[in-house]
Amino acid sequence: MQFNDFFQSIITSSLNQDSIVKILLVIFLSLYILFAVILMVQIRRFNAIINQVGFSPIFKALATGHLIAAVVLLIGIAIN
Amino acid sequence: MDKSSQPLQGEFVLGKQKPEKTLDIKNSKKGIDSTDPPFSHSGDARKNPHFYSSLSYFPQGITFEDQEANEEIILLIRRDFITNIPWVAMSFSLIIAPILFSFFSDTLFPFIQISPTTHFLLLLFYYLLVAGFILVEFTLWYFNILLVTNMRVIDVDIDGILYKNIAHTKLDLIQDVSYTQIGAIRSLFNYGDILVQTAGSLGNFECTKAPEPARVIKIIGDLIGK
Repeated sequence: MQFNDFFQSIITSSLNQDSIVKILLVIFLSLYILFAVILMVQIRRFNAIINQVGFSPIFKALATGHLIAAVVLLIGIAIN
Repeated sequence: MDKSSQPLQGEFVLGKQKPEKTLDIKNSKKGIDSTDPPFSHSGDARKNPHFYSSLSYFPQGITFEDQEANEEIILLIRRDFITNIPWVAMSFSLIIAPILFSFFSDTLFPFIQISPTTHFLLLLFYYLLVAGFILVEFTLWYFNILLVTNMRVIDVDIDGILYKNIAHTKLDLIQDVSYTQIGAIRSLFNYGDILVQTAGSLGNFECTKAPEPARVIKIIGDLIGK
């Protein structure tokens, strides 16, 4: 019953919903940052295997930018 | 000047040799003419290929791991660019989905009440996921490559971000090269699966959905002397 009340209170209270969405965002974003780090490392490794002079630096920059965007978003959520 | 001392002119002069077409010096014995690009639409001959090139003939500005000093890339083959359409269409759908969804969100989920700031942060996270999806899909296409050099064939297979398989074989060990092109879409856009068979226990190399497979196997066939 208490368990049910807990969810009831979440659904009815907009403040709690907001907090829970933010907590979930932080959790998922932290996991996503791990993925973004792996992606960046792998893209750098792949570019070492096949290096296209004109495009490889751009590709690496995109992967790094993706990671930076994820970190900035996490900081943004933490600040708010 | 005496006419008899002048060299004979005309179309049918016996012993007159026609000027030969300029063959690439390194590959002259292999019979590849670098001045005559063998690909009609998707190939880039003797120039820097675009990042979206699926087939390049003597691509410039591309190097690979363990490349030897006198080793030159003759062919760079990726999946045909047309095969990217499903994930590109999916990406566009994902990009416009929140715009469409915003019209019905109040009707569909009236019980969700979050602040505009959180809503915005949620939207940013969503677009970050979409960006990640695009980056992964492009990476999988971009790095799945079959390289044919003047010494060997190198097959780079990437299946997912964490799996890669790189195999190579010398041109001398290639026994046969063939392709299959099944279906209307493949015939229409002229792409198919290329199979490079090697001798003995060495595995075969497969390049799926490669553009202009007939011309590619002709070039590889010329290289291996078939």
